[in-house]
Amino acid sequence: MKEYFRFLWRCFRLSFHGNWMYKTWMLILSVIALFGLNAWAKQIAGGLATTGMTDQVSWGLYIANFTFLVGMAAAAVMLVIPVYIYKNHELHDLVIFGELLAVSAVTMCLMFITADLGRPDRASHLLLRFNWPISVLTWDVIVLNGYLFLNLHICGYLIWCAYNERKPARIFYIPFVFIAIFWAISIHTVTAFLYSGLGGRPFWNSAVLAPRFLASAFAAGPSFLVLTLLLIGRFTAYEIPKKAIATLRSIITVALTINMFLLGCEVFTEFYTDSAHAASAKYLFLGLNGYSALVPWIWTAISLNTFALIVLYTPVRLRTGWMSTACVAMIIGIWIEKGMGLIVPGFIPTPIGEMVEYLPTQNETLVCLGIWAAGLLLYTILVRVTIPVLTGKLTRTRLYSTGDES
Amino acid sequence: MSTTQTPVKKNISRRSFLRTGTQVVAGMGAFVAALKPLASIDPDDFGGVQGFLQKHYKEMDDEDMDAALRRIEADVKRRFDVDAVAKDIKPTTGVEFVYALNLSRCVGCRKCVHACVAENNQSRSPEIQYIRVLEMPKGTLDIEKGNHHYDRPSVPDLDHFYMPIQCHQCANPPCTKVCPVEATWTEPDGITVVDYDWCIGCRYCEAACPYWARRFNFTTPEIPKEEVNPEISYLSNRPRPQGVMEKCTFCLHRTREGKLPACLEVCPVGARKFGNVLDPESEVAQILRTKRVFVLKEEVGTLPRFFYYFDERYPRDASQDSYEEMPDMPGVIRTHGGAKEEASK
Amino acid sequence: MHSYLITAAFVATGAWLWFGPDTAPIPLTERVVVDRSEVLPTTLRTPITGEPTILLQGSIAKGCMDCHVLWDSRDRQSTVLVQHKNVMLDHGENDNCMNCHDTDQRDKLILRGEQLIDFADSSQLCAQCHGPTWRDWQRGTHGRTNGYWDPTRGTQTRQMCVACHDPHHPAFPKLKLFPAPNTLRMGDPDAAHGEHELEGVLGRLRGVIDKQREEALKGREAAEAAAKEKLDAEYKRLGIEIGDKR
Repeated sequence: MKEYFRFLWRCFRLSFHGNWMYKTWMLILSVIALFGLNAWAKQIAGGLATTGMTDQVSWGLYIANFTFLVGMAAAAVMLVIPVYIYKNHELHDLVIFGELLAVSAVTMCLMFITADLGRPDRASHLLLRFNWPISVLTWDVIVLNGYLFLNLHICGYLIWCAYNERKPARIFYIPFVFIAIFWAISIHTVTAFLYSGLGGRPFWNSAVLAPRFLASAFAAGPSFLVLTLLLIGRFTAYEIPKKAIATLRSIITVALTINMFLLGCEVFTEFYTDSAHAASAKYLFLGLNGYSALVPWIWTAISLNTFALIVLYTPVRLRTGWMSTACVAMIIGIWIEKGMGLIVPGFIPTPIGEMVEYLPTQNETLVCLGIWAAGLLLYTILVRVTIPVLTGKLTRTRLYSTGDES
Repeated sequence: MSTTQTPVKKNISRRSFLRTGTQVVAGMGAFVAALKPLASIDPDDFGGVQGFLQKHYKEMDDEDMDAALRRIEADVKRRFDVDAVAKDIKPTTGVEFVYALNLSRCVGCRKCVHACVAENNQSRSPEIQYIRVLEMPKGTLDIEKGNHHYDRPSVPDLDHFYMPIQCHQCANPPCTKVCPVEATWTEPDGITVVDYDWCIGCRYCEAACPYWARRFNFTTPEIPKEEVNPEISYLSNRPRPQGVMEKCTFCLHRTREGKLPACLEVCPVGARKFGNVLDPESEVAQILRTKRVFVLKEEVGTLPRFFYYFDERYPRDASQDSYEEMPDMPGVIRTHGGAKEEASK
Repeated sequence: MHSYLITAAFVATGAWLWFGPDTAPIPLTERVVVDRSEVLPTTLRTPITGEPTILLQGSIAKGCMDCHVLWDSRDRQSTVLVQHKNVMLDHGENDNCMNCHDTDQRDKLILRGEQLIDFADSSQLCAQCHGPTWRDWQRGTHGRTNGYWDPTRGTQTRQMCVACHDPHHPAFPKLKLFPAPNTLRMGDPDAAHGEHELEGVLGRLRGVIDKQREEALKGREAAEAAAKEKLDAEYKRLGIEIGDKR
């Protein structure tokens, strides 16, 4: 036990050490996170009126980011499938990076939910009177926290074993890994059910919402992983096998294709039927009654995703530069799609036909940036600490030397 | 094997200690500075310790409720310098409330909206109004075609009919299904209520309501002191804190004592009808039996307790346009002949 | 040295946050003030419940029979009034004053069976012709109830017909409109455009309806002008200049 605390302390100390690029990165993230924290404190004092949300558009940037990040968290576990189901052991270590991403993403999700609550001081009420199983939100609370602990356990155990220079016992992680695969699917499905179960919002009340969530998540999440792995390969001594990027690329290609197909399905169903239920879709894609603030956003998202799709189907995908660009395009495109393309149009027009548009305020944006910075900070620290342990540079017996700044 | 040495440096020099130390202190100082706005919060605005420890409405016994009501009265005194009387009125058995609205009568004057605001201590700034009146063009029942912001010298406009919408107190409400902490539920007499001291402000219920009937306090509600209604009840019209949901409760602080809701009492044309549907002789039971009633968005399956009906007998037509408002006497309408009548009271 | 930069950055951030505002801006809209007195449960008219009177020359109150014993009543067909200039009968098919008012006893109303009733009981008169409405009114489904829905716990107040309906022009006048909603960050509602136009058959019918309405209005104006002319001619014939009074 004492050794475990020492291990944690050593990891903590390690996270403050790195070269100037690392320190600059961490400083910038810390400063942004502090501004975000301050913005959130102002929000607690003044209420959610400091955001751009209204009774008409009662969920905005916070829930948009939350939805996107749940997808990222789910997709992070996508590496697990080829490694454990298809027994692709070369990618073994990379599973950890995926799961660390999952931990950071879920933490960000929980932070976004807390920022969105009107009374975060009453969060304890969730423990005292929990409307499970009727409320889908209670399912979401369970699956998100469960997923967090699942991944913390798996990563923690594997890293702890590497630190102790002993082989991990399969019984302590293999079953959990398989549970994590199913659990990853469930977190995003449950999040989709939050929206798709509402009969009063026909834009969301569609069976295709959950599959679309999963498809877009499995495109954006692995994209982020690809970028992370490329960065790790570039800036640390860790070797990333080419097979990892290739496997991820295949997953992304399939997922993005399905996502675009499902987008087509939704567009057809809404516009061919042309019923009153298509009002939100009309607002989003074409503008409605003179209101068209989201139209440029959705078409940008579709363009970015189409560009990425084309790249993935042509030989240029094998080149790192093109692949990275496609990944960035996809992350941005899917972020817009999930946020501005799904959450906000669900509220415009309101269920009784009023049109009020939504624009996030500066304070709201600062809180979002702060949470993203905190999440990236967490992920950087986790990766920063994990690599030396996995490469054997930091173990129970070996002291980490400053000469080797990576 | 265990060593207490740091993993990185073999020797700690004073210089490096100071260097690390100042960074840590500076970082922690910035952290504290970031949280400074929290110092300007008055804990009483958020219920204080008593509010934090308060149980859910359904778990409170008489003593707990009494303590809560006293706290609420003290809070109203603190916020508005008004001496309020807070009660918790339980439902009567054998009563199920139903509301009926005669669309042939409603002229869209919005008096009900403002009577409700006055009765239920709703925030004036930012504005919260439970009732939203839609001006509908004749020929459709699609509420998305309604105009919420109509502004005319007088109403009704003859090419439109008017449809007020408020919480329908559904029998199968989507809002109570989705609440994660059961801060909103349906009472035995049919009213969907909110425990303002339990709500965590996630606004899932607001997203779920198909009739846009629920409102959120995006900031601390502001009510001018002279307009505060001092007769308040726990589940309905007591002044709410920041960050919680609220909505129409069919004025349960009045209706559970046998009175009529505020919106009904001010309607100048008698378009609103309310009562106990389980009593076959009540107005509403008779309306449901004899008039052609319908509900909004029936296909969503919410089973509203708010029914609309038409019983047009003398349709408004162009000949009614002989009335005009007198420019020198605002609010007074001239009949075509010369008599001056008070247009609206 | 890097560490000094880091310290400086944190100190600067701390100072900025500490000396910055404690709140973020909230755009509160101008309060719409509707006084409580404007939303009281009053009725549109104050019906005559006691003896009917008329105010002459400002403030002299006279009962109906104070004048009507001096002058003979005109024939039953007349609708042009010398006194009571403000009253012009516009009650649909009911175009004869004497259908409701007794020829001899001007302070009473007359039911079809020649029975006289007080002004306070005028609702019985309305019931004679407006059967279905009367039935609804008795049930409570027509007209407004005030007070209690549960009569066992308090008094229910019902209004008489003339508390809302002017017996000479029963159709409702137009009413004053109370302010439209002005919620947080709602934007400019006038900026919307495409006024939810009706599509299809009804949209095309709108033009037809508008035309019919214009013609009805013109017809109405013509009828009013003709009536006014007739009235002026009567006055001229009588050689009377009577001021505007009740």
